[in-house]
Amino acid sequence: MAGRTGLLASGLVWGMAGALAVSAVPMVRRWRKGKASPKDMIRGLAAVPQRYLVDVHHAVERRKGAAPMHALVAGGTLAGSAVLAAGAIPALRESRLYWGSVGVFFVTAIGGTYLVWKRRNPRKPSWLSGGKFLWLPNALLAWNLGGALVALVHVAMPGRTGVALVPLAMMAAGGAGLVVQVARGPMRHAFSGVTWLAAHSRPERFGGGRSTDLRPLDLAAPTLGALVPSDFAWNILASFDACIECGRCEQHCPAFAAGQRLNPKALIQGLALSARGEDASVYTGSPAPNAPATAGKGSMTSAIIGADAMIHPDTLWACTTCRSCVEQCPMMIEHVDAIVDLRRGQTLMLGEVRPGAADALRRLRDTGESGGRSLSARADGLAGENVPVLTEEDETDVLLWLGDGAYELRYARTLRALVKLLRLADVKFAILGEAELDCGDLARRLGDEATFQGLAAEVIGTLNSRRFQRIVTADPHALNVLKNEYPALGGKWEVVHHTTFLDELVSVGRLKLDARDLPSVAYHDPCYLGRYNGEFDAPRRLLAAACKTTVEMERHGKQSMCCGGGGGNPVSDVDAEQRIPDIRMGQAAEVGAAIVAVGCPGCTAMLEGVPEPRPEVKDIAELVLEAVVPA
Amino acid sequence: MKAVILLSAGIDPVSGRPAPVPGEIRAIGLARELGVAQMIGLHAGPASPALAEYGGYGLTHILCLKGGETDPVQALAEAVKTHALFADGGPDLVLAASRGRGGSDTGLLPYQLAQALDWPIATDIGAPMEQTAAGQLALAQFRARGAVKPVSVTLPCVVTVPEAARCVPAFVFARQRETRVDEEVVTVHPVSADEEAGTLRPYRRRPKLISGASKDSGGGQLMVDPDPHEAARAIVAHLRALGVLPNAGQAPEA
Repeated sequence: MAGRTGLLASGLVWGMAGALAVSAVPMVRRWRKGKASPKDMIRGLAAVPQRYLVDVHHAVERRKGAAPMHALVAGGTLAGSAVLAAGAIPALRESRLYWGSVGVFFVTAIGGTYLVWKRRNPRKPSWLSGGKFLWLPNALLAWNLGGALVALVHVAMPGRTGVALVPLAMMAAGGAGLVVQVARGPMRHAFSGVTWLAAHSRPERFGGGRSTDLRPLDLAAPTLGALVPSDFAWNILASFDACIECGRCEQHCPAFAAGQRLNPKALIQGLALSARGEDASVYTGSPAPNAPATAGKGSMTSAIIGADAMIHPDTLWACTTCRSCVEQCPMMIEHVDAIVDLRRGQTLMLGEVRPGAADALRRLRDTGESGGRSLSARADGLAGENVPVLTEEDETDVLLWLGDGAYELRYARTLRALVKLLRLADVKFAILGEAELDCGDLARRLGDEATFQGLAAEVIGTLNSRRFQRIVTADPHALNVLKNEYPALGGKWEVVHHTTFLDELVSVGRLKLDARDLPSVAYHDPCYLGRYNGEFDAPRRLLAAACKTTVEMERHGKQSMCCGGGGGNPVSDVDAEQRIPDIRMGQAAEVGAAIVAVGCPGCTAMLEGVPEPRPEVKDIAELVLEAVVPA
Repeated sequence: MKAVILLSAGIDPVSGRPAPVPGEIRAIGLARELGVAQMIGLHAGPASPALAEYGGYGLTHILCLKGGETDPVQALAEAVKTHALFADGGPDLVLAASRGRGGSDTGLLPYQLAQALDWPIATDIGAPMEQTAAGQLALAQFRARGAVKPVSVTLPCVVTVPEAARCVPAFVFARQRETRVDEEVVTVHPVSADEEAGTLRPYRRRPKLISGASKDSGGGQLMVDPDPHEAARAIVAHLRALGVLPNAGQAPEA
């Protein structure tokens, strides 16, 4: 008899494994409807354990209790089930030690199941979803408790294992529930997550790496960007299914916080629902705040964006492309890539952009400047500084890229401070003058890849015709484009942010600073310098050298919150309840900062636009200039 | 309805780069709002890459009349009159910008073209209005200080569109890359020097319209529901008082 119930239990696990394998077939079939994107799956799958245990774990453990829950429930259930499956070998079933180990694993899983239950009880937090999640603990409990009891019967009453039929029935019920959870519920993320980790679109990110550049689009392709789910690559479709609706993206999204019509979690779920052809009502998490209702329907070949589709267009334009969601996502989903792909579809294929953005894009196409301003006026703010203009005949060490912030009088003050510092450090530098066009950052974030590539070709041509050692810019958006995105289009130079460069000048002693006794200063990490380019230390070293008292906001470094100025937000007429910069300045005031140090023209404009009383906004270059002493 | 949109080689006034002319972009938008079924862009001059951008605003076909730049009016009028632009007959409508942006472009061109075609012209049209009669177009004319005047014009006609019009069509890159830009070599016969010089006639003193008006700026005469003849007499008397019409009994000037 011992053999029979034991074999039955083992058979149940094998049967369950088979059912899960079968349930994956429609999923794989669906993904294959996406665009081809060849991936080395053998190598990818081989890398999954490390990617899971290192990169995914780092993100998971940021939320208290999440890592132990996963370790206990996933580890216990998988280990218990695997050992039970091994019971197909008759010799094992005779061993009490074997049944003991089965029991230990399942009891561990029961502990994990309690933690799963506790997540949504007594009250479901707003960032978590309900629906099928609500009875997931029941299925887990039935499977694991059943497994533990089967093991107990075999350990305690080897002679009367027929009793084990009762817990076996319980296991079968739990197993059926788990199959439903995987085949038609959120637990599909176990399979799709592994697939996505193996076939990630940015494998460079694993092992603490960084990959943030948007990929060039072939402008001759029949469909540009994504209009329907099948326009996404197959692995991207898998990534949408990999979302487990944990809501970390939602908790960190500046647009969501300000009541702009975007919830990254609802967006990814909307994409997944579209691809699966399910109704929007299946989604039980919080929606995009204030977004007008849509029909909530979709299919692999019907439009994703639109009032009569799944996702409202306002959602797309509310994104600041700050990559906070991407940074937080434990499944390492690429939300920003998805948004940009959707924007590309709307912009390039349909011309559906916000009126303000349409004007800016037209000016970029026709004048090479987003404001339609005269290219020769860009350096007007530096008129008194007599900065040389680099011609094709001259040569210089540092080419100063001004960016579109230079037209603003406020930001010109920062640039003047930077120019004075370069003079003090005896740096040979020059600007491009009239030859500097918009680098195309705005066009690219708004999805207008055609305008971006047009501008990029001109800018790369200009820069390749000039002789210089490296480019220094005070605009992290330009830094990101010049440094990370032009290489794919044939422009490769050494590009550094002004804080990196000034930090270098200070460290080699070409600039000497005497820390001033200022009220406390908090540094606001620009998204495109921090998360996009990994520069967190140089600005902080400079600040520490220039000011005696510095404080950190709660959200800083990789967790920093966007100022609201990225991704074409300011030209996209975005509806909101609050302004993102107001929230950010509130965070600065909370830690008692009297000065907020910035390093980006966008952040400067956004944060200084907050009504007083608020901390003073100063660029790091200005603070450094004030602290500089004769060497 | 079939429409021809006149395109010029515009230059952006700030950057000096080739760029579509705002009025011409809006002309495409107005044609779409009027429910034009077929549209073609017509340019008197050689093809240039900047012209393809109009395709993004909704033109699927642009025809460039190379050699036509020496006398655009003649070249354009020939093209419109020969009925070869569309498979099924000539256009009902020629749309142009009220103001050009190229170096030697002139705002007189639409008028001259209308004259050459012997078509009526409606100028500074910012929007369509509700259509009432067949063979007629009801349009909204944008005038100074935001005033809008309903006008009606008989088809076929020439319509010019100002920059103030709000009918800016969306720019779609996917449309631009599918636009066909054709070049056709045309020969124009330059007009003789005599015609170019105009006609000579003796100097005639112009009535002092403004000064007369300023003297008599107070009030006027209010007539409620007058008899048409009485009203006409009142208008003539008023114009005589202003000096716009010659006084009664005086022989009209040649």
